[in-house]
Amino acid sequence: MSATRPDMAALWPFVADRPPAEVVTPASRAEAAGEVSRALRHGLSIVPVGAGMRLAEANLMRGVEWLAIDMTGMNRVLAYSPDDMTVVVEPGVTAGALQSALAEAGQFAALGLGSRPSETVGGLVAANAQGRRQCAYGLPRDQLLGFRAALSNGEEVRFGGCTVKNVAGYDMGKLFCGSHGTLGLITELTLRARPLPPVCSTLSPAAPSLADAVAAGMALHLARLLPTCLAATHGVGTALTVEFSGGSDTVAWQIEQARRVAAGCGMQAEAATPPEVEPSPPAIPGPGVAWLRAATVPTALEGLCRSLEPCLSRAAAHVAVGVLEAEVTLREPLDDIERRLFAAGCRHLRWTRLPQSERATRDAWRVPAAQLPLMRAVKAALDPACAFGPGRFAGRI
Amino acid sequence: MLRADQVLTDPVEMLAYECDAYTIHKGRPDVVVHPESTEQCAAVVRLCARMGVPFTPRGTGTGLSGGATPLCGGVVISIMRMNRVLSVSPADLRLRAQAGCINSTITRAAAPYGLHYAPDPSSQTACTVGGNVAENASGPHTLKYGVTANHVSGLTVALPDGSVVELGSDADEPCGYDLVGLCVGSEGTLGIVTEVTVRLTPNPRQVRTLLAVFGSVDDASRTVSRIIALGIVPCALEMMDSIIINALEDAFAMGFPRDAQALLLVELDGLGPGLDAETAAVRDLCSEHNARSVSAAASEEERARLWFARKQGVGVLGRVAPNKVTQDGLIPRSRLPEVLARIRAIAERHSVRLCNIFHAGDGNLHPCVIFDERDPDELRRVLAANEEILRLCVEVGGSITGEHGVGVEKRDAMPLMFSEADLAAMRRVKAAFDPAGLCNPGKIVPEPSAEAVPA
Ligand SMILES: Cc1cc2nc3c(=O)[nH]c(=O)nc-3n(C[C@H](O)[C@H](O)[C@H](O)COP(=O)(O)OP(=O)(O)OC[C@H]3O[C@@H](n4cnc5c(N)ncnc54)[C@H](O)[C@@H]3O)c2cc1C
Repeated sequence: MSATRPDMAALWPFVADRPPAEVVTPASRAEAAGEVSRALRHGLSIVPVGAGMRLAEANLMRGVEWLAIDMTGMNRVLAYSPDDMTVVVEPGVTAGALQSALAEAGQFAALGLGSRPSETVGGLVAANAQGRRQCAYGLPRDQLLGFRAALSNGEEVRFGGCTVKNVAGYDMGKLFCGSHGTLGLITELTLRARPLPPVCSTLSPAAPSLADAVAAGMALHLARLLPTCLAATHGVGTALTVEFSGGSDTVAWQIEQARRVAAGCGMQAEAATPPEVEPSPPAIPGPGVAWLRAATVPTALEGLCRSLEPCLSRAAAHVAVGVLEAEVTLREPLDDIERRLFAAGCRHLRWTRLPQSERATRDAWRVPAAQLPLMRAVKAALDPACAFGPGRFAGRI
Repeated sequence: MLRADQVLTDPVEMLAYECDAYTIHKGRPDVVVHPESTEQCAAVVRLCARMGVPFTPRGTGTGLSGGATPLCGGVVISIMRMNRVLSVSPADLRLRAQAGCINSTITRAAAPYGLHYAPDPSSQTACTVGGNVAENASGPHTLKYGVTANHVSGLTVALPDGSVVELGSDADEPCGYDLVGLCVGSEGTLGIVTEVTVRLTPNPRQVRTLLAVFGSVDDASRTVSRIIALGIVPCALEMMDSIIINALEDAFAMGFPRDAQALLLVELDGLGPGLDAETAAVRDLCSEHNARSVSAAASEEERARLWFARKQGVGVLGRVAPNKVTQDGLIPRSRLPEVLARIRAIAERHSVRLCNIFHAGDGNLHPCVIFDERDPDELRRVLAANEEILRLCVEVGGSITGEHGVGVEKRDAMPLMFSEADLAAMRRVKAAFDPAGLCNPGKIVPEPSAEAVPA
């Protein structure tokens, strides 16, 4: 195994039922495309690997020989135009490196803002992963302006562009965001940058329970302030975390308003150590626990939290966007947990970490079945050789 | 399946369905139908699929790239009568409507809750939300609030085989491949959208609207670049040039100075605190760049009047010349001063009359060429100038369309931006939804070029 990725020995069991036949670390777009072609020639399946922290979010790939393409060697910022607020990067650049490059010109990109600066931008886009600031900036899908990818027909494609608007042709970027590496190998990304807010300030009143924290969060949501984070969190203690960013006047004013709304909900005292807003699941899941990401509407979030109460050990409920990320202790079958969530108004669900014993048999996605035929057709259109992570995606696509 | 009054076959009645607001290409429908529900829509599509007849979805036909033009004849499926708002969930910031619902009707339905639908194309009182989804439409306030794709979470779609599928939901994020994201901007080529779940946006508490008058286009465009570069994010930043100013004066006596070369309409919004300081910063920037005057709308009426002028700015050109083509190029915004100067040179070289009214903050240009199509030489020069402008946009790293779509108008310009491999991938995605190729044929992606077809 390649010395460049010593962690691969620990990671591969969360990707496939066997170790990769080879690990390669391309240093350029041409090399990356070359590796894709070589894998195709040798009949190998392909799994792109960034920092590796979200490999366990997708399904286990079974019964195929595979090539791990380690993208961390392609880690350059290729072009940055502060005046246009656009930046072109290689996918292996880390979120931390990207943000520090942009910060020099007083800007940032609204992805990978959380507690794990070593995640790669390619990985964040492929997982369409966003943390606390989803309510203010949306998902990576809303930041991606253009990209290049190597496909399994041996061709390199480029979609979108480097302008902030663009409607020329199908918006393929939307498909690649959240595709978990199952459509093609992303080799370059163009992202939107934004001006860094001068001030950022947080309020974290303690709450008696997660449901109470969500209810208070809902009161704040209805107050129509402009938080950059509005999350009810639970772990060691429970709190509501509200963050505002912007000019000092507007931030101070909003903090004051938020304090009043929270007090109105009986939550005055700041939590001594508020639980993490982005409780990061471990790259490698432990036994007896699972992590889930459930999506619903804000008004149903409190019910979702209550439905999980008996098994919830850690949670962040992003109130304004109706997203619940939670660690659950598995004292009952996963099916029962799912049933309770859907009965409480969950729209869709992903198991982002599952015990290894479950991963062999369970699809990590709960996507409405009616959409699967179209998703299969899209997969076949973009990955005609079915080389990219076969079986790793929703519906075992 | 449909009542007689839902079907048109009279050639005279069908004339209006031969094209949209881009009138250079036309196609004659064999029949026009007006379904009133998802089920009726799907039934028509099923029939077309069974009989192998092409069909073209149509909203209200305000499109500017020929998207709703039935190039191969067949059935035009007009969703105009599917125009109801189905539900509003103010706490969840969601509204569900039939696809034929007019854009401004959505905002009206949201207004009692202090909410609005953010994408606000100038045509918003006439165009449908289904047409907006198909074109990924945007408007002046896109600069801060994003395009249609950022404001749609769920769709009901009659697929080209006549089956009906729900894509996405009312939840904020997609699950699995983002098929909603793909369908937005697909110009009616992947199926017929029959219902839409949109995201609503709280109305801003405070708004400041400024009008800056410039003696030169160059000064105005440099101001735009500076505002963006300084990290100020106005909610709108629109520019109009002297031909537009004078046409507006002729039509509505707005009180704009007729000798001005450019007007900038700058709007800032927010919760209140800090907004005046930001507004002052924009004022200073305008003055630094030689603005002759900068005035603020003193009342909601004054603000509405300024926006009325901006939204009528294209329509009003009808008074200046019998025909117009509105271009829709996109450029990196830092290149604005340079590109506007080069566009002026192109117009001069081809002796065409060209004016500009556009979303300056996004770099979304709408060079508008006015002409008389009865003069064949002028028409030829107009088309040549148009093509040169598109090439220029691509050359500086931009796009051939920012919001009006490819349709038939720009289909053959797609190779300026995309390689044959890119286009082939788009064709495969289209075929994944529409293997028989009956859904709005002839749009977006050109046929493979002769050299590219394997022997
Ligand atoms: C004066 C004027 C100003 C304009 N200003 C703007 C602007 O500021 N910003 C902007 O983005 N656009 C603007 N436009 C363009 C146009 O209004 C938009 O593209 C609008 O979204 C089209 O909506 P429509 O209902 O008229 O659709 P149509 O023109 O009827 O159709 C447009 C496309 O959508 C498809 N379609 C329509 N309905 C459906 C459906 N239910 N399902 C699937 N496909 C469908 C059609 O096949 C066609 O390809 C302007 C047009 C005019 C005439």
